[in-house]
Amino acid sequence: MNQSRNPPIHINEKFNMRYSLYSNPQHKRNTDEKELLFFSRMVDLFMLATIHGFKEGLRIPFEKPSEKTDIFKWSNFKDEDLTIIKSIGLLELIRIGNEDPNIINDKSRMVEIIQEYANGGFQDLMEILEENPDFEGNFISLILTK
Amino acid sequence: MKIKEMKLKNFKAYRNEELKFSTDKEKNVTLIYGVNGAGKTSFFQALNWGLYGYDVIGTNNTISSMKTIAGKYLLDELSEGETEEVKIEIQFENDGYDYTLTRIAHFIKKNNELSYLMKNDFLSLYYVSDMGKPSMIKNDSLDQEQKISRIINNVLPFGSREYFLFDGENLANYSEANKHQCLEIKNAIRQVLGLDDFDIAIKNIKAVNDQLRKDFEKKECSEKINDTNNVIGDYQERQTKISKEVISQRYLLKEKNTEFTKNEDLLKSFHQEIEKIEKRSEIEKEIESIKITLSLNLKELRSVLTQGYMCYSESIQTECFNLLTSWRKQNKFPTKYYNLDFVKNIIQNKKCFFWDFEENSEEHKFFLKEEEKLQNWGHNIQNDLTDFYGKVSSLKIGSKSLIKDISEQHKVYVQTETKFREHILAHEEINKEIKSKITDKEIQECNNKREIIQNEILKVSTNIKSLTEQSILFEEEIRKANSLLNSMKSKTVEGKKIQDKKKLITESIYWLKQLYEHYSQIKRQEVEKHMQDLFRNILWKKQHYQDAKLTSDYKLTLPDKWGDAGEDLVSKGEGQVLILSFVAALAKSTNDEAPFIIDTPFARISIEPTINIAKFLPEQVSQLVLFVTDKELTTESERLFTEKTQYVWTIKFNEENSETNIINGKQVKTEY
Repeated sequence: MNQSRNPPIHINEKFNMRYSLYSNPQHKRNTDEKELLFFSRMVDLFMLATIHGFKEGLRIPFEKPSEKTDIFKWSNFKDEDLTIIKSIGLLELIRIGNEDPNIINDKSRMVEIIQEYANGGFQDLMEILEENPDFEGNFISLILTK
Repeated sequence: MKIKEMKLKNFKAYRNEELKFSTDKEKNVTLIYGVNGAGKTSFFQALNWGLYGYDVIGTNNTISSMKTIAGKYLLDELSEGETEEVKIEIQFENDGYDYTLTRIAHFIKKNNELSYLMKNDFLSLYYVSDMGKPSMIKNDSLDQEQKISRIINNVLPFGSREYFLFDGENLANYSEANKHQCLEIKNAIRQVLGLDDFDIAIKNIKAVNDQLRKDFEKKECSEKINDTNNVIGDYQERQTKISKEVISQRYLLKEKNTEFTKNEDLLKSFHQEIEKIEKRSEIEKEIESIKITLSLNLKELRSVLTQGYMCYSESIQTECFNLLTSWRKQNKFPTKYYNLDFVKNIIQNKKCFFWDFEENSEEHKFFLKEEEKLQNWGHNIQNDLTDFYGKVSSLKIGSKSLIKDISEQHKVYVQTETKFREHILAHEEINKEIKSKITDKEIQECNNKREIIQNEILKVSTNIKSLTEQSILFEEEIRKANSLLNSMKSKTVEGKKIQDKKKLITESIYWLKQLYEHYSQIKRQEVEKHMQDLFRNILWKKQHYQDAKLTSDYKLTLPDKWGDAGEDLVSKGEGQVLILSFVAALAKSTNDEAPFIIDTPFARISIEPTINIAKFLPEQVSQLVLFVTDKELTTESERLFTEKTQYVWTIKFNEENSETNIINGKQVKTEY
């Protein structure tokens, strides 16, 4: 199987605006909207959505990615992100009874898994974070309790 | 008084002479003859000096100076520095008592002149009272001398002596005086009849009256009381005005103080409002500052929170770590160095870490078994898992550290946010308290008003202080004026008493004058009556004249039968007879007996009147002593007088020794 060395990471198109709202520093850094810059990077929001989706078992496949949904590339992940992604990949296979350590080197499989978990986790995550106005408080409460 | 005897020593030309006087009631005439220049006048002077001493020096009809009384012959007889006395001794009776009066003056010859030694004067009065007790008074003290003078003046008053020791020459003088004024006549009556006593009494009472008038003038302050009352009234009016002004000013001060308090309250409320506004401003500044801090804190929180997914993935990491650990325990992947190559190398070299082992030894078997396990996993994936295992482990540690950072940042953020909310609340509270917006203009106006009211209060207070001080001054002036008024009122009471006394005195003077006038008129009429009796007997042209009159204004007049009383109608002789009648009437009118001694009485009187005088004059007086010249008496008149004499004497001047001798009997030849 051909593996892209730097595959794009897609999100569900319907979440595009929300991702831009809470992150997407590219256009906010030079405007007054930087007050709404809850996440330094769009990758961070994606990672949070993926983790939440995985932890809640919310793996939801979505439409084939288009250019509009290509929000960043694999190379945008930091080492810590990759460790988490690999962990999710290993554990996802274990969940389905396939003990295959080689997944940690299989980017396409890992991309598929994290995109679908990010898709499933994002909606639920937003509901939790926006449950009350204290976004940060909701966030901290989330990460400390779960 | 009747003179009984007189002795003269060294008085003028009298070396040592004495004579007795007729004192019998029926023979009361003493005739003393002497030609002109014989020494009659000197004898007359000796009698005056003997009775009254130094008082007669320089007065009418007496000696001119003490230097002249000493006999000039002493100048020849005395040695230089030697002294001698001049002595007169008079014996007389009065009111049943016998007296001997002795007066001595001493002279010294000095520089061939006789000098009078005043300090050596001697005066004594010896008398025997009706109880037979003899008494002697000497001039050894001033009191004693004054006592003797008082007795002599009582017997024969000094003031009236010239009417009894009468120089005949004065008949002409009095007669002339009577033509022009009546003062002498009036004086004569007053002095001889004791009317002087009234004068003295009136004079003394007038002196008291004058003193009372002066005292009254000192005490009299009615005008001053009115003035002082006016002053007090004025002060009280002014003080009342000031008091009203003070009340008005105090009311104004109260108003100003109230106004000031209101303004102060307003200023205070302004200040409180300003403080609140300032505090709000401070809160706003702090809010801005906190907002900045909060923004920074939020930024920092978000900067750590953006990686919060790592912490959130901790359970995944743990689960993965546990999986890898179990895999390791199952030797599904070696450690980084304990791998298939490493085990193969040990088996091949039969050499473990620190020791060698034999083939088929336990160690050998162990490592062969290890080789079998390790052959199930590919060489690369083992390395990757080993590496991955390490990363998971590191991530776990990093996540824990990150959680700590997030907690701390969140804590800081929450604290800042709490502080922010508190400030927002405080801001809202203070905003509610600030009711109105105060302008600087309002505060400035309030401050200006404060200054104006303060100045007004100061001005009013100063006014009140000044007015109060004025009021105190007026009170003090009123107190002084009232004190003065009381003093003056007290004086006025005293003045009233003095005035009452003065009124009594004035009335007394009035009545005394009335009494004096009444008494003097009675005496005048009495003298007039005696004078008429004598004059009628003496005068030769009886049918031509009416009775002699002593008018109420004390003028002697002799109206003719037609009632005319012109001066030209009376001759000089008639005038002298009139005066003689008057003087004799005075002697008769006096209450006390007085000697009537006349020196040369008949020089100007013609024969017929002289005879009449000789007939009637002795009856008019208690004692008559006549110094006559050899030419004064006619034979008839001399006979008539001689019938009434006890003693007749002749004064004769001895040219050989320049002395005067008194010889018993008539030793001159009547040449008339």
